[in-house]
Amino acid sequence: MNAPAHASAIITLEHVSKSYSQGGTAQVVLRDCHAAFPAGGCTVLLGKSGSGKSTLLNMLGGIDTPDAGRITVADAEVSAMNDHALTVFRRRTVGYVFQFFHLLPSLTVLENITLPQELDGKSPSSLRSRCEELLDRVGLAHKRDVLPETLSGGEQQRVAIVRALAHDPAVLLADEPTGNLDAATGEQVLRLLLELTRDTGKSLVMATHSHDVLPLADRIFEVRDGVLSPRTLDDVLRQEQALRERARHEAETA
Amino acid sequence: MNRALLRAGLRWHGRHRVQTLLLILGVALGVALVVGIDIANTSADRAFRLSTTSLTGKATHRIVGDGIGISDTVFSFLRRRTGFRPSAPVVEGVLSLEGSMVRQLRLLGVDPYSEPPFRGYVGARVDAAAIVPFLTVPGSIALSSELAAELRVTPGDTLRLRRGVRSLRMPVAGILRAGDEFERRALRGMIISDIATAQEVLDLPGRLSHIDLIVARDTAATLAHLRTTLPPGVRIETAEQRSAAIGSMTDAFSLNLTALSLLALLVGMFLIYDTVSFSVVQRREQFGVLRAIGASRAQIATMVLGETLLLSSIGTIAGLALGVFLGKAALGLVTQTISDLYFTMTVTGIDVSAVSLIKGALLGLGAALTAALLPAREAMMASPAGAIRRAMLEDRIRAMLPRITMLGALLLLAGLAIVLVPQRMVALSFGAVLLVLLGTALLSPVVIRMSMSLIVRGRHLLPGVTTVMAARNIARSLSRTSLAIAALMIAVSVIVGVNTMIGSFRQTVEDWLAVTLGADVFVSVPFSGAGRNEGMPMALRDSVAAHPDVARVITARPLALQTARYGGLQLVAASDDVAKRRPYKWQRVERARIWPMLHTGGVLISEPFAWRHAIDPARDSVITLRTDTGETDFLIAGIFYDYSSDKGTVLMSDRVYRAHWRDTLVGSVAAFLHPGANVDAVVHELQRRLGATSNVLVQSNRGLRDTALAIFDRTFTITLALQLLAGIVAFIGVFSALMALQLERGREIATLRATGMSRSQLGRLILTETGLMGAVSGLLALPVGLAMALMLVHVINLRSFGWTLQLRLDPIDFVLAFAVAIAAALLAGIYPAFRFAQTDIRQALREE
Repeated sequence: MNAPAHASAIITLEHVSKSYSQGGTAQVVLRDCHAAFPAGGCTVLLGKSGSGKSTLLNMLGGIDTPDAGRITVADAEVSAMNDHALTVFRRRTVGYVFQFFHLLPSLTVLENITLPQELDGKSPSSLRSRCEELLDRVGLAHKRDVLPETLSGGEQQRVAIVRALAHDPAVLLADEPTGNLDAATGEQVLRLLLELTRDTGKSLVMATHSHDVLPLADRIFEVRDGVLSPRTLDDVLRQEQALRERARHEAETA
Repeated sequence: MNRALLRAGLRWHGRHRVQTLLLILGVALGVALVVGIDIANTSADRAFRLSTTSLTGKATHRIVGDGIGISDTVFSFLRRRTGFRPSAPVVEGVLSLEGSMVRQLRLLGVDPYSEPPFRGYVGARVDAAAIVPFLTVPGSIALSSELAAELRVTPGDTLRLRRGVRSLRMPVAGILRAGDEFERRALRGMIISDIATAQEVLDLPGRLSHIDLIVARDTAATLAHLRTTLPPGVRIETAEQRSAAIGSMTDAFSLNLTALSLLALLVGMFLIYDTVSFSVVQRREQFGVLRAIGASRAQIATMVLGETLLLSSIGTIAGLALGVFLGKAALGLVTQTISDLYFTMTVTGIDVSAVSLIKGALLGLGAALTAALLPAREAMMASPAGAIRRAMLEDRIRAMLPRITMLGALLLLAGLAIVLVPQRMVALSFGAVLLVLLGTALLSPVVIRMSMSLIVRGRHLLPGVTTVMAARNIARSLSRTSLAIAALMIAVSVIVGVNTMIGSFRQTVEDWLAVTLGADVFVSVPFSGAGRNEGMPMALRDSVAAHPDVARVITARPLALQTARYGGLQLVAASDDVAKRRPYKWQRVERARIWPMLHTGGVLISEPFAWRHAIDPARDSVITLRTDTGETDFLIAGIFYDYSSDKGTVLMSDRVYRAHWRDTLVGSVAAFLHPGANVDAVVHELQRRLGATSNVLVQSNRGLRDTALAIFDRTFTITLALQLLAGIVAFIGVFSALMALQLERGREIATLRATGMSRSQLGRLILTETGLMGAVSGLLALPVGLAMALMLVHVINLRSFGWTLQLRLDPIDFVLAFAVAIAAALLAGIYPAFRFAQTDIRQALREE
C-alpha cells in the first residue's frame, strides 16, 4: 500500500514513474510511487542492487527527472523545474553524499567543501569559518589544505559529508555512503552522518541495501519491483528471518 | 568565470602533463608555421619595397618603355620640347659583389643636378668634400656609411663588382647619409653613380631605365599634355603602378605558402580538439559530480573553454617566438626563390610586424577555441546522474553516423564540384581541397566500421583472437578512433599529394628540358638572379662559332620586361629554335612554317602567358608591345609549353627584336657541334679561351639541365620543409589521440590482465589495434592523396601559374606513405603498451 502525500512533509512523491530504455526496450524502474517523508530524522530507502532506489534518490536531488508524477522537496516542485532551476536547487536545497566520495582530486579538502557555494557566486573567504568548524567536527581540520588522494577512504567520505552540509541544505541525500568502506570505518562514518544531520536539524534520506543501518533509521521505505512501500524494522527483520529459514530448508532438502 | 572551477581544471592539466604539453605544442607549432610564413612573406615584400620603391624618392610618375629602358634623348626632348622641369633621369640595375655568390647591390645612376627634389640622400646629403670626385672621376660611386663599413671601403678605395660577364673596378668617391630608417635600410643594398657610369656598367649605352617626374599641380592636364608630346615608344605611369606590378608577380607563390601553413594550423586544430576532447572524457565523472553539486551547464562549458584559452595562450606565445625564429629561417628560402624566379633582391632583413604577430595570435587562439567548442558542449551536456558514459558517447556517434556520412559525402562532392567548375580563383581552389579533405575525414567512421566488420567476419581465417578483439575495439570506440585515423589520413594524403605534385612537376620540367635544350654546348652569363637582363657582347657569339668543332650557333636574349598591357613578362629573342622538337599547345601554321613566320614578325607565347592574359588564339590573333618605334602588334604564331617563367614568355626572332629595340647584347649562345665532336673537350676549351677575358659560363647540355633542376629543387625546398613540419604536427596529433584512446581503457585492460592476459599478449593487442588504425589511415590516404595530387597538378598549379604538368605516379610514393601511416600508428602504440605492462591490476580494478 502506498502512503498518501502529506502536507507537512519535507518530501512528497505523487504517482512518480520512471523507466529507462535498454537495448531498445523500456525497462520500468519505478512505477506510480506515492509517498511523503516527514521533515527531520533519517529516512532509509531500502532495496537490492538495481531496484531503483538510487534512481529515486537522484530524482529527489534534481539530478534525474521522472517520466510522470510530481516530486516536491522543501516546498519546491522538483519535477517541474527547468535545467537552470534544477542547478540552483542542487546548489541550495540539497546536499549529496556519494558512494565513491567523488571529491575533485585537483582541489584541496577545503576547496572541495567551499566549491558548491563558490559556484553559487559566494566568496570562499566568507564560507571559511563555517567549513572549518564542520571540518573540526569530523576531526579533519588539520587536513584542510591537503589533496583528497592523501586521505583514507573514511576520511574522504567525511570530507564529502562536510561538503554536503556546508551550504546548509534542507535535505541531505546519501547514496550507499558506506558502500565503499570497510565495516568499522563504515560504522564510524554512518554515526557521524546521523549525528551531524540531527545536530543541524536536517532531513537525511539514505539509499542502501545494507540492513545494518536500519536500527538507526527513523523510518524505512523499501523499493521492490519498482514499487515504493513503507516498512517497519520488524517487517524487515521478519522478512529477513523468513528468507533465512527458506534458504536453510532448501539446503537441507537438496 | 568561476575561479574554483578554473583552478580545478588547470590543476587537472598540471597532473596530466604529457597531454597538456601536447595541447600547448599543437597550438605552438600551428601558430609558429602561420606566423613564420607570414613573417617571411611580409619581410620579403618589405625587402622588395626597399629594393625598388625607395628608388622612387618623391617622384609621383615616371616615363618608361616596354623594353629595356628608353632612349636618353627622351630626357632632353622632355626638357626642351615640353618645358617640363621637375624630372630626373635614372639608370638602374643590379651588380654582384665579386667573390660573393649572394651579395647583390643595386646601382642607381643619377644626374646630381636633377636629383635634389627627388632623392634627398643623393642631392643634399652627399659629403661635400666627396662631391667633386663623384662628379669628375669616371666610373666612381657613392655609398652609405653603413654599406661602406660592411664592405670595408673608404673614399679612395676601389669596389670590385661584377655585371654579366664583366668584372668592374669602381672607385668609391663619396659617402651618403640616410635621412631616415627607411632610407638607411634601402641604402644598405644600393650604390650611386652618375648616369654615364651606370650606362656603361649596365651595358645601356644611350639608354635610361626611366625618367622620374614630380607632377604636383594640374595633374590631369599636365599628364595629358606630356602624353601627347612625348615621342612614341614611351609611356607615363604612376610611381606605385610599377611596384605593384612587380610585387604582384609573387602573389601566387605567397598564396601557396600561406595555404600550406594554414593546413598545418588545421592539423594543429585536430590535435587541440583531440586533446581537449580526451580531457573532457577523462573527467566525465568530475563533470557529473560538479553538475550534481550545483555547477550550471554554462559554468562547465566556461571551465573547459577557459582552461583551453589559458593553455592555448601559452602555446600561442611559444608559437609566436618559434614563428619569428622559423620566419628567419624561411625568409632565406623565400627570398632565394623570389630572386631565382621573379626579381633580384638587394636588401633582405627580417621584419616582424605587430600585424603578423596579432594575426598569428588570433588565429591560434581562435583555432584552439573552435576546436574546444565541441568537447565543451560534450562536457556541458554531462548529465549529473550518469555523467558522460563512453558507451553513451558511442551510442550517440552511432546514431549520428548516417548524418556524418551524408555530410562527408556532401562536402566531398562540393569540393569536387568547385574544383571542376572552371574559375580562376586560386584561394577558392584551395578551399575546395580543404572541403575534400574534411569530407573524407567525415567519411572515415563509416569506412572504419565497414573495414573492421570485414575483419570480424573473416575471423576464422585469422590466427588467435587478438586481431578480432582489436578490430572490435576500434569499431566500438569510433568517437576516438575515427578522429585519430582521419588526422593521420590527412597528414599522409598531404604527403602523397605534395610529393606527387613535386615529382610530376620535376618530371615535366626534365622532359621539357630534354626536348627544348637541343644544342650541345651553352655559353651564358652566370645566373645570379632573375630580372637582371645581363648580357654579353655579340663578339662572343663569333668566338664560339669560330671553334672548329662548332657546326652552328643560335643566340638567345632573355629579358625581364615590365609592360603596360601585360605587366611583367619574359621576352626571349632567339636567332633560331634551339629545341629539337618544341612541344606546342596550339599552332597557327604547321611546324615547319612557325619559325619563318617568327622571322617576319610573328611571336610564340608561352602557356602561362596565354593563361594569365586569357588569350584565346582563335579570337586574339596578336599581342601588342610598346617598342622603341611605338606600339607594335605581333601575330601569335603558336602557344608553346614553357616552364622557365610563370609570368609568361614571349618568344620572338632575334632579327625582329633588334629591328624594334636598341640592344647590342646577347644572353646566351647555344652551339651545335659537328657529329663525333667531344663535348667535354669543347666545353673545356671554350671555358679556357673565353674565360680568360670574361666571366662567361660554358656548360654542356647535361650541365645546363643540372643547373636548371638545381634551381627547381631550391624552389621547392620551402614546400618540402613546410610539408615536413605539418607532418610533425599531424604525427603529434595522432600520437596523442591513440595514446589517449589506450590510456582511458585502464580498467578494461586491468580486467584483461586479471583474466590471464600476459604482458606480451597485451602489448600485441595494443599494437595490433594501433597498427590496424594506421593501415586504415594509410588505405584511405592513398585515394585521397591521389585526388589531392590531381587537384594540385591539374587545378592549383594551372590556376596559380598556368602550367600544364604531366601527372607522374610513382608507386614508391604510395607504398612509402602507407608504411609511414602504419609506422606512425605503431610508434604511438608503444608508450601505452609499455604503460599498461606496469599496471597495478588491483588498483585499476578498484577505481571506478
